Amino acid sequence: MNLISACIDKLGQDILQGTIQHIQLTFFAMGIATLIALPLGIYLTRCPWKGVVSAIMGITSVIQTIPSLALMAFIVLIFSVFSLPTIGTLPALVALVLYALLPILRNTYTGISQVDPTVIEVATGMGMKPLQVLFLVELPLSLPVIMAGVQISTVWTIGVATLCGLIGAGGLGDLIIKGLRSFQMDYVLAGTVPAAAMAILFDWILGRIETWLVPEGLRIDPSKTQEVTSCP
Amino acid sequence: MKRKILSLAAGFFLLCLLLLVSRHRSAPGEHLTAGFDAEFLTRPDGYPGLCVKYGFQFPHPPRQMDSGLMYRACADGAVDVINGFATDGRIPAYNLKVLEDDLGFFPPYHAAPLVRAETLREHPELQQVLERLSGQIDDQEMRQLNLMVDEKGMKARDVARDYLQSKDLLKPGSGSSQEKSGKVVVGGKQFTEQEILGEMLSILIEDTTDLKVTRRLNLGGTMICFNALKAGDLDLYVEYTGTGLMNILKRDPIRDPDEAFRQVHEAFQKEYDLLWLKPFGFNNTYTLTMKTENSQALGIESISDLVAFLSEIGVRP
Repeated sequence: MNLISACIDKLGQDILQGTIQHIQLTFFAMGIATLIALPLGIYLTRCPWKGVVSAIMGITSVIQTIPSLALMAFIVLIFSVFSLPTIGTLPALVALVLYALLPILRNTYTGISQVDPTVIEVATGMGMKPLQVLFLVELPLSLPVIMAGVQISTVWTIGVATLCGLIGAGGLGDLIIKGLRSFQMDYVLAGTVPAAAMAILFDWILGRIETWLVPEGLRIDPSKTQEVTSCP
Repeated sequence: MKRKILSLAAGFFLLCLLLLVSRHRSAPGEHLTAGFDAEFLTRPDGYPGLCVKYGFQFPHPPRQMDSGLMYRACADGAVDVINGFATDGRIPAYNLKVLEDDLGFFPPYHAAPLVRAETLREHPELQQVLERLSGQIDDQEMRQLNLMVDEKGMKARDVARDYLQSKDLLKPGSGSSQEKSGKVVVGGKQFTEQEILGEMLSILIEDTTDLKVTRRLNLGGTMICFNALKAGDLDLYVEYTGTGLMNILKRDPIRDPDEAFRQVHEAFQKEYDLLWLKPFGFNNTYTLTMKTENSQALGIESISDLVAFLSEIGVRP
C-alpha cells in the first residue's frame, strides 16, 4: 500500500495528464475511424462491383498487418516528405485511425451481409424503403457484430496509443517509456495500470451502449422468453 | 433505432467539442515550449536538476519525444527548446543554437569504453585494443561522423570502418592467425553516436584479436545497458563520465573532466568491478538548444536568458 501511495504522490500529476491525453487520442481516433468505416462498410454491402469490395478490404487488411511501431515510423517519415508536422497529435492520430479501421469495416460488412435475405425480402414486401430496411432491419440485426468490431478496435487503439509517446503526442506511453529508459518500475506501472483500466472501462461502456441500441423487440431476455412462448 | 443512433451521434459530437475546447485551453499558444527525450526528463542531471539549479520551469510541461526527432521538431518550430546532444551533427546542420550553460549545471560527458573487469582478466589483450581509440576523436570529428549517419543515410558500420581505416587503426594485433577462441558482447544505447562507437569497438576487436563479437547496439537506455553489464549480459559498452557520475552513482556534478573521470573510475572499480578505459576525447554534454533565428529574435543567448525570458516576458512579442 505504501508503495502505491508513494507512487501516486510522485507521479499523480503525470498520471492524470497522461490519462487525459490518452483518452483524447483514443476518443478522436475511434470517432474518426467509426465515421469512416461504418458508412464505408454499409456502402460496400451495396456495392455492385465485387472487385472494389475486395480491394478496399485488402488495403485495410494490409494496413493491419504492418506492426504498429512501423506504421508510426512510416507516418512520421511520409509526413516529413510533405513537410507536415512530424511530431505531436496529428501523425499519431493518423496512425491510430488507420489501425482502427479494419475491425469496424470488416464487422460492419460481414454483419450486414449475413442478415437473412428472406427477412429483407419480407421487409421490402411490407413496403419498406431501402433506408428503412437499413435502419429498421439490417442495422438492428447486425448490431452485435458491428459493436464487437468497435470494441476490438477500441481496445487495440488504447494499446497502440502507448506508442504515441515516442512522437511527442503524449499519453500514458510517456510514462512507460520513461520507466524503461530509467529502469524504474513505478513509472511503468503508472503507465500500464491506467491504460488497462481504461480498456476495461471503455469495453464495458460500449457493451452498455450496444444493449441500449438494440430495439426492445430484439432483446433476448431469458427470464421473459418463457412467458412469451406460453402466450396463447 | 434511427433516433437512438442520431442521439448517440449527437452525444459523441458534443463530447468531441468538449474535449477539443479543453485541449485548446491547454494549448501552448504564445508560450515557449520544450521537447525533451524520456531519459532527460527523468535523470537527476537532466530536466529535474536543471529546474532546481536555475529555479525555473516551462509554463507547459515539456513534450516527450524520441531523441532522434527532436532536432527536426526544433528546426520546424514544433517546439522551441530541445535537449540537444553537443556532438550531434544536426545542431549545426539545421542551424540550431546551443544556449550557454552559464551557471555550469551540466558536468563534462567524456565518452569512454566501460568494461567488465572479469572480461579483461580473461582476455587481457582487449585493453590495449580498446584503448587504440583513446584521445583520437574530438567534438568536431564526432559531429561529422554522426552527421554522416543521421543526414547522409550511411550505415553506422561503414562510417566506423572508414574512420578506423583512415586513422590506420586496424593493424592486426598479436596472434590474429589463430582460430577464434572467445566471445565478447558489445552493447550500446539507442542513438546514432552509440551505434557508431559500438561498431568501432566491435570492428577493432574482430579485426585485431581472436575474439568473436556479438552486437547489442540498440538497447533502450543508460540503466538497461548498465544493469546488463553488471549482470554479465554485456562485456562492454560506451558510457559518458557525467552519466556515470550523476545518473548511476548519484553524486554531485564535477566540473574538472580529469577529476570526474578519476572518481567514476575509482567508484566503478570498487563497487561494481567495472573498468573505465581511457576516454575517446570528445565531450558529448547535454545542452539546451534553440533555433538560431528564435534565439536572436528573443535575445536568448544562455540558459539564464531563457529563465529571465520565461519569468519576465513569458510570451512571444
